[in-house]
Amino acid sequence: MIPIWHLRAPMLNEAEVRALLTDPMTDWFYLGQVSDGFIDSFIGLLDARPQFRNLSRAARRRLMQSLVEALQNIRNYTPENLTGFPEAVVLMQRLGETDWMLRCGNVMLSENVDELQKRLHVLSDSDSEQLKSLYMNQMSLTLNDSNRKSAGLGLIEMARSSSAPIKYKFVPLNQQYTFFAVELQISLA
Amino acid sequence: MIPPLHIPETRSTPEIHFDADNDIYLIRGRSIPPDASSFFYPLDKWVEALAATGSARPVNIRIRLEHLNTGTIRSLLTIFSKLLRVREKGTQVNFEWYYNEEDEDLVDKGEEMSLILDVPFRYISFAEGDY
Repeated sequence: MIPIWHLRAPMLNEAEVRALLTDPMTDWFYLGQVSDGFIDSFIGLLDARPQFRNLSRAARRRLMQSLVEALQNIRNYTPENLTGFPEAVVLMQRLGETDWMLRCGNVMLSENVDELQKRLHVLSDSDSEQLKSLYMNQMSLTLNDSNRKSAGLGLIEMARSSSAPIKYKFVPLNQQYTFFAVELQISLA
Repeated sequence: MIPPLHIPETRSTPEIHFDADNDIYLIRGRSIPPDASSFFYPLDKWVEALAATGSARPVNIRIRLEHLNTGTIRSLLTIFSKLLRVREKGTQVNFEWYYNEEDEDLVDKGEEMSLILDVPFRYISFAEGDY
């Protein structure tokens, strides 16, 4: 399995593409821009897939929510007017009958790395009860202050949806941009 | 009199049907819009109007959501907080949280919203196919 940080745009080479295409565990792979239109089309695509339709209602909800939260997070935090990079990479691989690995990566501004790293460190070190507590506190704060930004609620939800601690990595691309990759394990059991 | 609000369902946004004259307060379907605050803006304004006038009859909100993203939860909490102000005018407000009997995890989402709003929700299960 190719580590996602090897997939950082635009350095995906022919051998890596071949490895992805021939890996029987690859469910789907996307490299490019993640816009609102893409997310909406993606939802339609997922709805149409028999593998998705055959899942239980609870499993469909869990999978859909994890994916949408991850894609919307990419859309929200990828700098606008990027040139020279395809913006984002999303890879979904099956780990077993009921488990998937979701790996997402996007280009972000290097100046925001420290703050994001601090948040992710807390998330990856928290158990499910601590994540719930973080979520409830953050949601209450944003509710009581309409000017307050969501401050990573999407990331907390992503961490909550993962059955294993959230994994992440930052790879500097140049002085201005950094590639950020995150990995979730989604269990539908 | 507040004109009824009806927004049809799409694959990423829920049906919203709020009609005070006919006691209909319904949010139903999938709610994963990319910009939840824009999507829920008409409902937010509708609820502000109701909170200003009040209602002689109880307001029973029926929430029957299949998927919810973070933005939806945030928007609904803001709207429901405004709605609860109508109680100052003597209007009773009740929340009914519907969930599919095959997806009891969804109850957790309702319980979290209920805790943050500090109001009890009534939880009602329904069977597959009973839309």
